[in-house]
Amino acid sequence: MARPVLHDAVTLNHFGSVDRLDVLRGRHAHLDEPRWAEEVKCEIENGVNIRNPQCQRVLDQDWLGEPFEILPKDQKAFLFIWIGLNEGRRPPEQHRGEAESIFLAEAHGGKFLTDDNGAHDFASKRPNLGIARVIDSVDVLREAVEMEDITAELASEIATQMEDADRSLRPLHRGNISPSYFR
Amino acid sequence: MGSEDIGLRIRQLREQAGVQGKDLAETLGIDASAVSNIENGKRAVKTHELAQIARKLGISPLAILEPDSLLARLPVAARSATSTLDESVRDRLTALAELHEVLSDSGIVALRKQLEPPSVDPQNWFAAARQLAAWASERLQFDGERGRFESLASSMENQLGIDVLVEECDDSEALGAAITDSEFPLVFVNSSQARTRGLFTLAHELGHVLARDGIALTIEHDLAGVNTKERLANAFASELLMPQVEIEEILKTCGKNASALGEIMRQFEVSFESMVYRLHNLEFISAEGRNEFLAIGFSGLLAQLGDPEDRAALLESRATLEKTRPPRLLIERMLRGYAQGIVSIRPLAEMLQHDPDDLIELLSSPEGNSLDFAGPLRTAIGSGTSQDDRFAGQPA
Repeated sequence: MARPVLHDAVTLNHFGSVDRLDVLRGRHAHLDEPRWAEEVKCEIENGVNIRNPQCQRVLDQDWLGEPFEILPKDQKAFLFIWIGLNEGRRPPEQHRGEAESIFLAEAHGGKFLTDDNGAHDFASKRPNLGIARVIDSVDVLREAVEMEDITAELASEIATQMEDADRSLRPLHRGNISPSYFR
Repeated sequence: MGSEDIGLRIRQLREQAGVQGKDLAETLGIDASAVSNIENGKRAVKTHELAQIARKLGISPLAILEPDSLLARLPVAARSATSTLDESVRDRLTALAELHEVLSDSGIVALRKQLEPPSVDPQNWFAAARQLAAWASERLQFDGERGRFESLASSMENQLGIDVLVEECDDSEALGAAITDSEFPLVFVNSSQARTRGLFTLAHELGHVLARDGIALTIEHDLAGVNTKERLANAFASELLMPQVEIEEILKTCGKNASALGEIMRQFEVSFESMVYRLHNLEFISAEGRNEFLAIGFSGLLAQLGDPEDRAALLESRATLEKTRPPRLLIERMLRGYAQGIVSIRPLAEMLQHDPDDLIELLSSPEGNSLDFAGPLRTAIGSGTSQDDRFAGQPA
């Protein structure tokens, strides 16, 4: 069985903003579920409500399947992740989608896909995930190039379009997204 | 905890908070019957609902799930000008206790062991305050070069294992607050106050922690010592900051005049009001004398002091505290937790007032572990190197 990839809202919006969700579909639609968490879907739906066009494109992706929710027995373990992801100003309110995705990726032996630098950094340090099981948009584009879904030139173009659309890639990649970066 | 236990716990906490079931239903956007089903264990509560319920009840979600945890009891003492603890301070203390809980669950505890203060009878507040102050005085050193506030704060952390957090909280009426539980003692001081007042607040809250007398949000209504616990904390702070023997020495040396009052304020870094009350508490002045002094006020004392240096020193002491001072024991634990993926960069960056991305970079330099700092330090500068060469390439 193929390990699932849990998609964070920020990355779904990255690909949605440049209308290239087909790249994600090509790489992940054949993998096991879950592919997204309940709160991630809620965040996307909230985006639709404020007329973000990329959010509607994400919602139209049937291959994402039904979002998974956190079961009552897992609430404490989930809360600990959620608390760790928040700023510590008040009991957790933000970053729930990231926390649910990380929990589900750990629980299902999957990967976590995010372009949020703080969430990526946190998840990659977690013993149950580790750096090999946390990926970002550039990793997906590189894999798509390797699997010959797209060319390196196109991968570079997609990443550039994302940045032009004010969708931030992780600081690690900034200024580095020439075609050679994806080969 | 199963759904039934969680439901029972929610009902218990809701009733304690005086919240009606229908109000909770409105918060959650569900029918009152659905709330009833949750409380009867017939319907599982979802994670987002758990967070909303906790928010409505002013508690952490962990207080619902873990009835025996620190979050469930969270004894807090507050020094506030209002009758309720501001939401922002309450939320901050709750969130810090949550971080403590998450770190502790992973075995990340404070490296410095907390010392156990003597057990005292809080009803006999005056004797208790003196006993605790004597115990603390033996263990704390707070006359360092960095000023009494920072020295006391560092000493509380290093010697007693009590974290100290200073933060600006402009929208809050709270001067300070403390988590008084021995599992995670922490004093918060609002930086929006003069240094002298801040020092008294710090010592006052330390008194609460040592007396272990925080209860679920104990509030001092008017800062005037309205109950035994507040009297104890005030007496403790006065005794700790202005020891009787040293006041007697100053009065003996300077004489009973304005200069002596200025010296007490300068030496102990206390406010005019704290000093006047202390002199009255020690029976150096009567109640009438105290009221006369208070009527004259700080400006009157300044006018009496001839030496401009004395006046400048006193005025400087009324400057506000440093804007922020992170709780060092918690920071140290969070750094360990960060390396292990227990907490993210966000709470650290927030507390250290750092950009999260920059902090990630700063903490993740792979070269840092393998650099040989000893090598360059061992290599002496050759005699042929000119001063011009050595000063070339100075950082801007």
